[in-house]
Amino acid sequence: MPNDPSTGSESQGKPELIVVAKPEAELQVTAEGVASASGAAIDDLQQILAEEGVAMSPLFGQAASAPTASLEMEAAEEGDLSLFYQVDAPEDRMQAIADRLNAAGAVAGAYVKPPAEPATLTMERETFLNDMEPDVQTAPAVTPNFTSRQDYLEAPPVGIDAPYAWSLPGGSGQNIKVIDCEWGWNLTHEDLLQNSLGMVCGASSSNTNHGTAVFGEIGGDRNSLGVTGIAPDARLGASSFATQGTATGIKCAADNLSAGDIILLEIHRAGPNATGAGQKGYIGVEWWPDDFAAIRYAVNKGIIVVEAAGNGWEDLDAAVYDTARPGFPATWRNPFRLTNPQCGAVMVGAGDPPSGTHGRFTSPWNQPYVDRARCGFSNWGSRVDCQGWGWEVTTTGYGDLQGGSNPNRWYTDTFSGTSSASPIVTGALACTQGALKARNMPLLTSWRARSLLRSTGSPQQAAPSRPVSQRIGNRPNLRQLIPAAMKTWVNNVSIQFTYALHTPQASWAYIAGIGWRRIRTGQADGVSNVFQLCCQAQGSGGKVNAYIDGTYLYYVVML
Amino acid sequence: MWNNNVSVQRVYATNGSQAVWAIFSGIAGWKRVKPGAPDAVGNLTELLTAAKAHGRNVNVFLQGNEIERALML
Repeated sequence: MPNDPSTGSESQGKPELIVVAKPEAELQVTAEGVASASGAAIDDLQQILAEEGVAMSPLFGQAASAPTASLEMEAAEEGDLSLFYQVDAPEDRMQAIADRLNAAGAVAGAYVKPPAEPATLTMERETFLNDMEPDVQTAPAVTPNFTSRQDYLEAPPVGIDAPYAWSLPGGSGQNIKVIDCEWGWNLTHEDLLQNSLGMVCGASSSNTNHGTAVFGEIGGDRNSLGVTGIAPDARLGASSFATQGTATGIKCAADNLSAGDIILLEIHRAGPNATGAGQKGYIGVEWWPDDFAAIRYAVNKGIIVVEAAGNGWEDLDAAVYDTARPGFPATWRNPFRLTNPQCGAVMVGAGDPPSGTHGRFTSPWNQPYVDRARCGFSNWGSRVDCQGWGWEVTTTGYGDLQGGSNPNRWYTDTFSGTSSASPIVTGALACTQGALKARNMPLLTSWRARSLLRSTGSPQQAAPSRPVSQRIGNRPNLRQLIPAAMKTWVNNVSIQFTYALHTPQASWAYIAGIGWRRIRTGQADGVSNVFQLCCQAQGSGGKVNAYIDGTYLYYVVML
Repeated sequence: MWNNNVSVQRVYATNGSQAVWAIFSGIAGWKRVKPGAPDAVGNLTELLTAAKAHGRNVNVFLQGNEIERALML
């Protein structure tokens, strides 16, 4: 049952009681209650539910069929989503009920997830991330153009080089959908009116600044006012945790997207090191089994999932994360360890902007800005794939850059956190996917996106007390990322046409479904050999595997 | 040594100089067309690709993991 939005904070979730059933129990939930299709003894389970006056319902719906995991060799083994249940129980009874359920014979695990939050607040100091107040001054009649303040768009290493992507067909995110999973959005903002998919799952909370800022970074409209998003032609939708659990919201987003689209998880929650002081110890949600399963479901559909690493000041390589929380199934393994099963999400840490951005040289906590050094609050570790700007992000919402009485015209100069970092990576990936799609190239999977984001980009820098050994990875560089993404094998394809000129090394092949590629020049005999294979393949109607990019054909295998 | 009446299972070429490999039925692993003379590599490539394309068997002389001679049957 969805969370009741009338209780709890509108900008954060509620605790959730999750039950993982043993597969052999073959549990079924009917109007009469819980039953076992295999005839397993579930009297104890039924008794607990009856005594507590609560009901179990499938977390992912009754027909939570798994998609076929056949995208590529990295595709992870699909978890069985039908094993996950939620129990709608009073918050003050959740842990006690979970403890009782863990003793039931048909239950592999039962645990309470702490409330999730957007990666917004911080701790230790009485300073908060993203608690900006709107400027009370009336906004000018027409919003100025703020794009000159969006340094994250600019050439590397400062920015990610969005203009390079925009110069390519499809490179501003055309025909790519992005769904942001969090709590609230202002969908009538003046700079978010183009390419909106609106609310895709659930209903927005009334606290909309955070989601509005995320949308502006990714897809702020291309016009003469306000900001311009990294991928302004991508279509943006929203899946709200205000009216559904987190894993449910992730799966719903996945069910509304196609392979190559993107899900952004703007969420973290209290992990085992959480102290209760602000967000210290908050971590990425993949650590919880049901969220892990939902992410893996999306990834195995071919969707790229981008996940905030969290603002918990935590070393995700710490041994504490190897220990399961009470009630986790025995099969659970710490997903922050790269040697354990992975969900496949791109995990994003937060890095400093260049010193002097917006005229500021230190963070609000007086840590000096060192370009691409880990922001003090950002979680780090071998699991973190890459970084985005964690301070000084100019985007829509909040109103500290332009305020006034109309929230549709609010802008901020200071969006921050792994919350501001993750949309930068999401935008970069939307540009990349759009460019690939425009050329009929295979789209990135989440696995390949992780790999390319690790192997390209502007490297992390060290700062006092923030060494590069505290890994948050590289800042994306689209001028490197897109060409690298374009280099790929296309398998079992036909050569439809071949074409040659009388000049040296001037030969082309038309790959069915993809288009013309020139045989990469360099060595005359090598070009001839590749061209020969293509001609023979065309002539015989045989299939080939070809290694190509957006312009060239490099290698070919006759099948 | 000669390996007679085998079929060409795969031919692989890169755009690099003299960079061509093939797999034959009953013989494990990729075998590279022996580099040395670009035109000779080109000739063997033509033979192997034609055999593969048209389903013709070959006799192939291998020295270690290199293809030195081939006869299309």
